[in-house]
Amino acid sequence: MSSTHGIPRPKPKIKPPKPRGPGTNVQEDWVKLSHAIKEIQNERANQLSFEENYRYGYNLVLYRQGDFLYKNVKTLIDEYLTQLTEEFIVPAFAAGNHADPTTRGQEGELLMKGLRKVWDKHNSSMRKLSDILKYMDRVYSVSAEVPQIIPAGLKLFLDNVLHRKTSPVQEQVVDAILGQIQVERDGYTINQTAVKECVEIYLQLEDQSAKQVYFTDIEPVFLAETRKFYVAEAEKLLQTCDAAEYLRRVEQRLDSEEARAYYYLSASTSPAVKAIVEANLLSPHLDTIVSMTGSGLDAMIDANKTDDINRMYRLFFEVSTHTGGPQAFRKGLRESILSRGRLINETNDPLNGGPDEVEEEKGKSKQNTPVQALSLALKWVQDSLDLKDKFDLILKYALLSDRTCELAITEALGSFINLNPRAPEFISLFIDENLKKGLKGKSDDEVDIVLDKTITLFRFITEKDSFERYYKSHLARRLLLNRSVSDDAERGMLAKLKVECGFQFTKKMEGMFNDMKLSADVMSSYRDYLANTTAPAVEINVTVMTSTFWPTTNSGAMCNFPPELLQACGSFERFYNTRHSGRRLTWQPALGNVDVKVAFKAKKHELNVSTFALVILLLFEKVADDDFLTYEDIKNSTQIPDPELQRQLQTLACAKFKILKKHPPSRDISTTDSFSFNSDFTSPLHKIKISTVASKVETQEERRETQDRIEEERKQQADACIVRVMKDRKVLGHNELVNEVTRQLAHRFHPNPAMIKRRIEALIEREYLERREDRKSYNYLA
Amino acid sequence: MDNYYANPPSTPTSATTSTSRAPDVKKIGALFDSYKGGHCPKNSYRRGLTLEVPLDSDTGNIGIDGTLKLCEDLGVNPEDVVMLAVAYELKSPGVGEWTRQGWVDGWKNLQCDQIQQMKAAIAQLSSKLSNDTDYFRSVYNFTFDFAKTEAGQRSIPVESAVAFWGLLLPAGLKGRALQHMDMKTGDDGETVYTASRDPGWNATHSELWSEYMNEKGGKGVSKDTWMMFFDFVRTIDAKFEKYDADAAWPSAIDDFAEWAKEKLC
Repeated sequence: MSSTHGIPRPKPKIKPPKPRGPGTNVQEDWVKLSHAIKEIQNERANQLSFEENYRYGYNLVLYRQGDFLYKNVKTLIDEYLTQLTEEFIVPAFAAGNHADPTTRGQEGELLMKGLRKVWDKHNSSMRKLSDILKYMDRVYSVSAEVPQIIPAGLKLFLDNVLHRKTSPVQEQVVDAILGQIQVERDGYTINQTAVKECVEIYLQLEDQSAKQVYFTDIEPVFLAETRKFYVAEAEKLLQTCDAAEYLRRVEQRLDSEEARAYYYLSASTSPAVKAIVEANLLSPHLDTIVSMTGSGLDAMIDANKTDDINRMYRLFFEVSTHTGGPQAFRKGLRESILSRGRLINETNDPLNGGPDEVEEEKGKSKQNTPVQALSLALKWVQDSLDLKDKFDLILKYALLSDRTCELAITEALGSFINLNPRAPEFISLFIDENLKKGLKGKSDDEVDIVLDKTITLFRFITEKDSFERYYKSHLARRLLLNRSVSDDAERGMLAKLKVECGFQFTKKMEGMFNDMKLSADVMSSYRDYLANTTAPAVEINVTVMTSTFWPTTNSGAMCNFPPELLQACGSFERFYNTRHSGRRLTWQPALGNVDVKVAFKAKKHELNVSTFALVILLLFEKVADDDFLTYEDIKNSTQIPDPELQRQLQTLACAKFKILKKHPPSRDISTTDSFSFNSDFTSPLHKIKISTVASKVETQEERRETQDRIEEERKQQADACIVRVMKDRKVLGHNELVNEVTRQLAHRFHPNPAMIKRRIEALIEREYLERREDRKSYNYLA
Repeated sequence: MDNYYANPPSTPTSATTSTSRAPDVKKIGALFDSYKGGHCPKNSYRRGLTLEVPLDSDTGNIGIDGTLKLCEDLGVNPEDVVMLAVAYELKSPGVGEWTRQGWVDGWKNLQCDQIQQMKAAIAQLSSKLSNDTDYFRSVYNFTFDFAKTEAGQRSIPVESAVAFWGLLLPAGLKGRALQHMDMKTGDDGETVYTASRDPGWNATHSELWSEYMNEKGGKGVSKDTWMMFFDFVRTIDAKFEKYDADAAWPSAIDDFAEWAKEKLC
């Protein structure tokens, strides 16, 4: 301040205020100031003059009494805090061990409120003190390098209240907080605000290293307590809850712990708590939960409990991400699929009959009838499709289309489907069933949807070559017997297969279609040709099949044609040879069928039978109605091979329409049977279609034959593939070669390394390859 | 490769008896002629043999009768393994058959023009066969073609393969020729053989191998299997524990290793 005395002086001097004699006013000032401080602490500050008290403080600092002032103010605060503690906190100490949570809760609440009151009072007085002692803060504290009065006050609070040596404030308060939390965890309501306000104190106070005391005083004990609680909780829940309930509880716990951390503890505590809950409730029990009998993942899937599955998924994937949750979950998923798949495989095995059938009954014919076998085959596909649908839905709605789960599902479906060695045959049969005309009255669109789904099953098959073989033979049957629902549908299906496997896969099938079309043209010119020449007695319709396109499995059976047929065949052959030279026609009676008029006693019927059946029937033309032909007679005259002959005779004598009588009558044909023409046959229908008792599902023997053919084909493909690779690479190590060949063949089938090895050896022997000096790689020999 | 095995890089032997004197080609030729002629009654010997053996007079070669006489003169059992080494040296086209060219060149290389010298050379060949791995391998590989009964044949019958193994394996195991080695792939990708502590293949294994081949060996033994078997014998540990079925061993050896493993432990 400058001195202004009204009249300007020539040389104004700024003089320091005249120091008053030390000792005189200092005591006096302090007495007054300390009185004021006490008044402030007693909340009677409104009586005081700010300026006056500020000056006392100012003076004391100015007269170098800062040290004295600082110390004495702290003493006053100290005393004040002691007084407050005694007044508000100590009386609220927990009296003893109250079992009743409500009482304990109330006690704790009282203590926390007391602490908070002390805190509030202290802070309010400190603010006012800091106002009047501002000069001390600015001048003394800075030069003496001591904390300003407010931080000093906080420190005093920490040392004198919370960490009070003479009474267990710290323990009591922490106990109260933990008690409150415990009460809340036990499901009772507490005064969260009280806890929050109490914890806030700990968050605002800092220790020497500027760390919030919450992290030293509260968090560690809280976490330890939490751990203890969840160890017990896990045990309790595992004993009392099923999997769904258990997970529901876990989820609730996680939610409430998170809310607690955010609301009245510290947000930074949340991850640690979450980890504790996870480590105790989830990670040690993942497998137990997944496989809990009657309520685990499998049971949830059974009952379509989307919510429960989703909860499990979320907890296992989001909470137990790094402690094996996803793995345990996917394992459960796979096992569930595999066990379902195995059941489907077992119940629908046409060769073993139903699952109930006992192995010992070997003497009896254990096989199902062809019809049953077919329906089991179809059911296998349908069940597999249903299973896939089920898991598709689960994947979409419960697992949120998780990629890793999708992979696990695909893998498991694939492995169970390939566990059934007949999967390729069954899937092809299923498609056959849907592409056959006049069935079930499904609309085109419906059929298309089914076929699309079937393709998804087809994708799982590793033995695509085996499927191709069956598909071709089923397709041939549809085409030749004119059973296809429509050309469009067939071509649609082929297009789907082409998309999956490339044009190589469908090339031959397309060739079959082409043959059908060409044959129609050939027939119309043949008719024209017949119009100009003498037509044979029997009218024939010929399909010319390119031998490399069409499957010839089980269809090579020949027979002696009767003269009528020979004549007709000869006529066509002559015609055909005039148009194409150098082609050889081989008749395939096994694939043909015939319309024939037969006169029974009652009336004439028009029968549609297989070519073989016709050949057999014609034998009876020369036999009197009550005369017999033995099985041997028929066999010798027709030369039809046994299995085929038995099937035909069964159709004619033992099926729905009994054109022949079998002696003795029974369901199965034996080589000692004899047959006579059933002239008593009657039927309300004029036209009768007698389809051969179809063994559509392969019998064991047929299956073995097919397997052998497939094996043979695979050898050739492996040979070709090895040579192709070696031709390209010239020199290649054994393992590299095996891997490359496996890779290239994978779209057809999965070759095993031993098989490839044998093919390599065969090629070494045939001198396509040679072993190099190092004994583990090969040279290509051009 | 065939060429390699027929003419191994190490020039066959200097199994000379003494002297730096060059052997007399004429003398060698004369000996050939003496064995070529039909000294012995033919049919008595031929009856017991299963192999089709050419008559001495059919070709310009020494035939079975001459061979037996030769063995007698040399004091060697015709079924002694050393005869395989002799066959290798003299490029015999097959059992009991010797060409003039092979005979003359072979004995000349061995520095022999008299029966006495030949006897000494044979003693040396015998020891070399048992102790020199490379030489053993050459004779071993030669034996496959030697065992073929007709040209262009791709495999030899199991019975005759087993019989030849029965001759060769004991000879190799007797000395150092089939000593067990560890096989490793060196830094440059080359196969490196190092001495091993494992006892490796022994007579028990040979018995198992014969048993296996007789029971499950199929019809024939391919050249590949024959040649790889040599490496297998040399490198496999006694209990077959280190066998790697995914390596490039022929499948016959894979199958044998699997079959024998149980019996060995």
